[in-house]
Formats: sequence, structure tokens, C-alpha cells
Amino acid sequence: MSIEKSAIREESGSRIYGDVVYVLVLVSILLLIIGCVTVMLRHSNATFCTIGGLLSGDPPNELKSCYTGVIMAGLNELENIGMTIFGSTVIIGLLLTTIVLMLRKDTIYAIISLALVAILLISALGIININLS
Amino acid sequence: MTIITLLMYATMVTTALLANPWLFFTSLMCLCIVIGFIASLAGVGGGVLFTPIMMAFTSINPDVVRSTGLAIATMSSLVSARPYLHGNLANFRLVLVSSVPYTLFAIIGSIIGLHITSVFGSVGKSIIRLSLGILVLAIAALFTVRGNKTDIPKPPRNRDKLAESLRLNSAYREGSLNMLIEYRVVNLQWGLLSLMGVGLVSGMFGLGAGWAIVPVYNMLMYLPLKVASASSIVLIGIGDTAAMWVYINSGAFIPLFAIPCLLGIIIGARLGSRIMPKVKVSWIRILVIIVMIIAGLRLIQQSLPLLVGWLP
Repeated sequence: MSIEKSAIREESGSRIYGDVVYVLVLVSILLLIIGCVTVMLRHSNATFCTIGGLLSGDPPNELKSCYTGVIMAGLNELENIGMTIFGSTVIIGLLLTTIVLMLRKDTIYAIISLALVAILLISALGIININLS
Repeated sequence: MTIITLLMYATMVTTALLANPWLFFTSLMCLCIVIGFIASLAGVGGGVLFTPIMMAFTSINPDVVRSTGLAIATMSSLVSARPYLHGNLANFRLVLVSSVPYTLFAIIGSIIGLHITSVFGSVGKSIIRLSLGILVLAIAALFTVRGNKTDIPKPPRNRDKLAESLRLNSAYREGSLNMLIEYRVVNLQWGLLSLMGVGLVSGMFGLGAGWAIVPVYNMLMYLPLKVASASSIVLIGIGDTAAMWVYINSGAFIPLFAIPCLLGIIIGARLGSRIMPKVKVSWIRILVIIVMIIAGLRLIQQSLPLLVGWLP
């Protein structure tokens, strides 16, 4: 196959990845913005606590403690969903790319793409985790 | 030294002023708009300016800054990758092959970075600051020298069998010449080896790594400059996502801090790309280099007293 034909073939595969990650990132950012603005409007104490902690260089664990309590749990959900979507965009994009590559019988790249999904999943599922004190 | 002392006073005044939440978030967003604007004009990612500036001139915890730096690099990359993938400017096969070592080492880098700060405490933070300071000075030197990057490099005669067997050679349409440019990928194994180091640095310091990936692709693997830049953007999105997850799972990602920064960088980058044709970019590059040198020196100055006292 000529380089030109190969390049055109490649384009249709990578297109899906580009489209999927673009849409998902925008959705996740929107959710994160809504989550943050809601927290700021409804719970000024948590916001003050976070800002104070940030400015005094507190470790992340202490900053997270500003978010404890039953009231915060519901609001925090929106941020968590946004964060999960933001972090999962590449995994979803690569999974769809793997399916396309498998359908096109491009075995080598389907395996490479799947390996990347596996690496990203290991990282996302928290199998590797550092406890910050 | 006077500049550094003045900057220290400025930091203290700013810290005192920012006790109001809305003022804090607005100031943070404005700062990030400026960073995104300048970075876009200078042709670098926002993350490479954000992390050193925030670590050098604010008291915010380095883990929080690095996780946000990675989020900025990831988001910028994922948002801007689409047109490059649609136009086949990014070599997606090469990105997939490069992503395996880059992602693995970005994860390792983030683990090492977080481990240093959590085990060694303030000494660990100083080690990170010192290493980042030296790295930022090296990046500023790289920007000054600029290397011998060429738009369409001529690869050596000997072919890379591994790259050929993986069908990495490709083509793209060069708009300015209105023709299809075919290119060959060479030195694949050396390129992948270099990307391991780049991934490690990116994960460890929470920096976007376009400043290192583009030279590896362009000068070592002989990719045309446009293809190198486009592929680097797509690669950062994949690799830094994995590193970012390590920071998220360790609790270092604080949305209330990250969101104004992400928004600011997006707005700044958009403004920068619109103004770019009307501005003399060489001045902006000089400004970026000066900012990086000051941030690098400040990071070193912050870290040395504690490290000197800690050493036997």
C-alpha cells in the first residue's frame, strides 16, 4: 500500500478518537464548573476553608477535609462525576479506536491501543496509589 | 537579588489580598488567562509556564500545583487534538507506539514525585523545587538556543526497519505549498527511549512536555515540524492523563483550585491565537524566557536554604 493511501486509511481511525475526547472533555469541564460554582454559592465555609488551606500550603488531605459532612456529599458528587469523565475521556476514546482497529483487522495497533487502555485503567482504578500525609 | 526580594514582597501582599473567595478565584483565573495568552503567543503549552510560576511565587502545596499543571496540559491537548487528527497532521500510529513508553514513565514519574514529597516532607518539597528550578532554567536555555529544528528535515538514507514494519511512514497535506508531503520515521528505538525520560519528567513535575517531545520527533526521528507538533499534542493527552490519575487518586487534585486555572488557560490561549498574527512573537519569546529564568532562580533560591541545612 502506498504511503498516501495508508495515511488516508489512518485518518478515518484517528478521527473517532479526536471527536470523542473533544466532546467528553467539554462535558466534563462543564460539570466541574457547575459543581464548583454550586459549592462556592451554597457553602462559603467550605470555600473559605479551601482557600485558606491553599494559601497556607496545606497538604491535599487537609484541603479535602473542608469537604466533609452530609451537605457536601451531594454537591461533591457533581465534581466527582466531572473529574471521572475528564480522566476517562482518553480511555473511552482509545477503547472505541481499538474496536475500529479490530474491525479493520489492524491487529498490531489494536493490541497497542488495548495495552494503552490497560495501562490507563491500572492508573485510573487507583491500583497505584500514594498516600499523602 | 533585588528583583527576587521584590517578588517575595509582591507574593506576600497578594496572599494577604486574596482572603475573599470571589476575588481569589477571579485573580487566579486572570493570572491563568495571562499565562495561557503568553504561552499561546510563544508557542508553548500552558502547563510548562503554570507549574514553575505557581510553585515559585505562591505558597500553594506543590502536589496540588503539579496535579493542576498536568490537568492543564491534558485538557489543552485533548481540546486541540481534534483538528490535527482530522487533517491527518498528527501521525496517530506513531502516537500510539510512542504512548506506551511515555505513559508508563509518566506514571512512574508521578509516583516518584508524590513519594518524594510524602516521605521526605518539607525536604522532599525542596528537592522537587530545586530539580524543577534547574529543569526550568534548562528549558529556558533550550528556548534560547532553539536547536536546529527544520520544517521538513531530510532523513538519513538508511531505512528504519522497525518503523517500516509498523507502517509509521506517512504523508500530510502542506497547505502553504499545496502539496502532499511524504515523510519517513527513523531512529524509532532511540526516539522511544528518549520519550521514556520525557514522560518521567512530565509526570514528576506536572509539566506538559511539548518542549521536549517536539525536538525528539523533529530532530531525532526526522518528522516534519508540523507533524511533530501535532503528534506531540495528541501524545501529551494520552500520557499525562495516566499521570494525572495517580495525582487524582492520591487526593492531590482540588477542583476548586483547578477549574479557574483550566478556564483561564482556555480563555488565554484562545485570545492568544487570535492576536498572534498582529504581534511580534520574538518579543513574547524573550518575555517567556525571562519569566522562566526568574521562576527557575526563585525555585532554586527557595529550596537551597533547607537543603543546605539538611545535608550533613
